[in-house]
Amino acid sequence: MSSMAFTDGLLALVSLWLASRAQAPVALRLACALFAVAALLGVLRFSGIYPLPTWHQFASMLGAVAAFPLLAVAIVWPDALVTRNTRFAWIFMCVMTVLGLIVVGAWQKRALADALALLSVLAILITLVRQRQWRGALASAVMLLGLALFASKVGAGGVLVPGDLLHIGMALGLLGLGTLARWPAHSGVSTYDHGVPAA
Amino acid sequence: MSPYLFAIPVFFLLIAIELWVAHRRGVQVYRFQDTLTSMNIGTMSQFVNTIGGAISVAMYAILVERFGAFTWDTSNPLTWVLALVLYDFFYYWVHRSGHEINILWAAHVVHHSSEEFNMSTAMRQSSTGFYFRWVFYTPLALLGFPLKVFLTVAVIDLVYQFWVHTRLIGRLGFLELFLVTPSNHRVHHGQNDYCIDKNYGGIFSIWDRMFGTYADERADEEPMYGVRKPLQSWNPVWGNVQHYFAIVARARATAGWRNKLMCFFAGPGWQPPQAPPVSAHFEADKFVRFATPAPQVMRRVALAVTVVGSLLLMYFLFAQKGFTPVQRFSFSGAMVLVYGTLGYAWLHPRVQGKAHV
Repeated sequence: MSSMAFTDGLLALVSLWLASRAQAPVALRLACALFAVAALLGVLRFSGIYPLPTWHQFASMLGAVAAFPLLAVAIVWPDALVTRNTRFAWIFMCVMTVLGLIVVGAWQKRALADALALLSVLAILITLVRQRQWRGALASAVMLLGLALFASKVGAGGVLVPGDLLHIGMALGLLGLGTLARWPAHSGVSTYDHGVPAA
Repeated sequence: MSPYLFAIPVFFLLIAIELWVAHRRGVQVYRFQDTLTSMNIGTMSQFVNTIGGAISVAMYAILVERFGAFTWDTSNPLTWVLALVLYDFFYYWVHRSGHEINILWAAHVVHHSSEEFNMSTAMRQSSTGFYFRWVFYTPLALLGFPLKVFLTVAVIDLVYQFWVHTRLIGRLGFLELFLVTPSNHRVHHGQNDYCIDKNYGGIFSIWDRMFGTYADERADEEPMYGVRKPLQSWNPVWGNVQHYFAIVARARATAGWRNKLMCFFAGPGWQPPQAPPVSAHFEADKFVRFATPAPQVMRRVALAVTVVGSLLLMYFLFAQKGFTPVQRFSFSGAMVLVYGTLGYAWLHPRVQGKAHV
């Protein structure tokens, strides 16, 4: 069993906790649910309980191309349709997944997915700094650091591998973002009206 | 060799049988222009999908190779049964999304554009749906189902759906409980209030029952087929693209980026806030089926184009492996041009004028 099983477990716990917070925007919850799936598959993989490495890679790819941008949308544009509306959050996730499948799956440009994740967290950091939400800014900085260390394959003195630093950075970052407690109250009324469908 | 090469003659045979049965019963289920348009839309979609479908197949092959988790024994019948059931489950979501998200409805609407309901309607398949459908089947690739299993069950699912497009078969007893049948598929093609967004299943209707989208056919209210924004054209090319144009036009005319986004991703019935309200109620007594005069010479030309087009398609499916991508593209492009010209000619003022002579 590698250390990554524990750090992925930590990330899974934090993600599941955030995904289950009813007052959080739906985009944030969906992003966290995606992170949780990837992390749980990581636990199965690195603990050796039931390794499904291809699924873990796939879910991690989804995390990079869909969950990070969803998280960014939720924080940068808190009133956007994608942030507040389940249908549009799902559509956004599906569109990003398609792009991810084409870019990473077919074109094999994993670096572009990592770049998208980095840019998303950078956007969160800038937004929170501008809003003077220092705790959130610190959390996103930690997350950005974890992503940067992972992308540059830097470990921590042989104790923690780059993947561990990514998981810890993400878990701490999500914990900080999740406790922002600054989500505008949701009216409960959907901004989307299904209207009159055609046959 | 494409399985459709063998399916097409069977489809034509079934259409002939349906025509004969309808004739014997003294009911009219076919109209000349509608039938030829359906057939031409189907033939054109096969030409186009030899290119578009190849993209879907390539994506599936890449995904199963890179992310497929399990190895399946293809000599075990259970593998195929499981793949078929799972395929049908994901087909339900493809189909439901195709009805409930406007930009995807633009691809699917052509299938519903016929105001008749017969086996030729089954041939009205989209030429543009290939760009999104493959995504929904990604879980099958993740499970590692080999490409040949995926393609086989996809063909089975599609071919099954052919025979349910008929008004001549009534309710089928207990089969209605779990299978897609002509009766519950008639509801799917209806534009009556009770038919809207119902019965999305491909082979199994259990998905509709599970997710609350099932409706039984009503004896007191026969479905009126078609869509509430009728195509009003016999043009296969226009039938495939008209809703895309409508969405773009509406988005351009709508104020605010949020509402513009809604034009693409909300349901087909969504109205911008500033638009005049549209009645959600279907008035069957006011419904008039699209019909235009059909002069004899035009009927002969259209029939010849349809027959020759179908034969060319069979040749194309038979010989396509020997074609280069440029040849395939040129062949398909030429056929799209032919069908577009024929569709245009049907409603040309000179043709319409001849009909009145």
